[in-house]
Amino acid sequence: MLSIHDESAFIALLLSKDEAAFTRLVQQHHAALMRMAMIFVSDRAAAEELVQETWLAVIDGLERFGQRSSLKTWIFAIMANKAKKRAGKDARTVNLSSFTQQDVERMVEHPDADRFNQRGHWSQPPARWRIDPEERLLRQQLLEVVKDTIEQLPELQRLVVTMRDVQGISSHDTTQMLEITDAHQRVLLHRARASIRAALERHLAAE
Amino acid sequence: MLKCEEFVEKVSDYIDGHLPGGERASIWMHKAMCGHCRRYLNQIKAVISLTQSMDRELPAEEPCPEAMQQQLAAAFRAKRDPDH
Repeated sequence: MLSIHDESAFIALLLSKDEAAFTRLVQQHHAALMRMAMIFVSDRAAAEELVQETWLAVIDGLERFGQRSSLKTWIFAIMANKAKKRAGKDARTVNLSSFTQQDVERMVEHPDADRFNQRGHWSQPPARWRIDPEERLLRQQLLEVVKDTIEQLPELQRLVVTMRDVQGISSHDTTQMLEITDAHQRVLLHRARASIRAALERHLAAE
Repeated sequence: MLKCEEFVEKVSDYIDGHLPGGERASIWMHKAMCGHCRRYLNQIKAVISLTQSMDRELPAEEPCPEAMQQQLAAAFRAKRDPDH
């Protein structure tokens, strides 16, 4: 990740119309944008269109980018706005504003809810992970489990955990982009992390 | 005394620094006394660390297709030299 100073220098290159800098920017963020786009839209072709529209808007708006956020956050916000605009017109795009309170409640069911007794204490405590997740060979496998689990989460959990933990976007910016309350954003993030923990627990128990 | 079920609900907010002082203290006291919840907390921390490093450590799956890269470069050039 670029430091603040490096990022300012990099933005200066982009503003001076340095094409190599722009190519680097695309290479650096394209995969992450595609992954996000695949959450917003249901097929690959539509995701590629959304990413391309985002990049064109980045080119158009670079001179107006005020550096109030990081470049990455700004680019992701552009994509979220494009996705919201498409949602009304294109059935392939997830309509964030169509989620009802009930949908959100359904998406925040805790994966470990049945592991407590009536007094609220563990009846089925978290299993010990016998292998150090920092160990290198295993780490690759665990990262695949994390990735697969994220892909299977309900859309809003997937968006929140991707923005917050994968991309490092702040809780404030995530809340703004997805137009959800801060409280919901925090619950969705915790549910996503809890589901990933449960998947890792199953994987490590099966080792 | 906080129940384990309540502890688990607050773990992410605790790690992310979103809990007010009083609630932080009750988490701290509970984790000092409950090994299962301490384990849960450490596992959630490991989840966050793995998730944060996913992009760096897993090979990128979606390099920008050559055709799109060329179209974008052309759009960037057109913006730079609007008269050409």
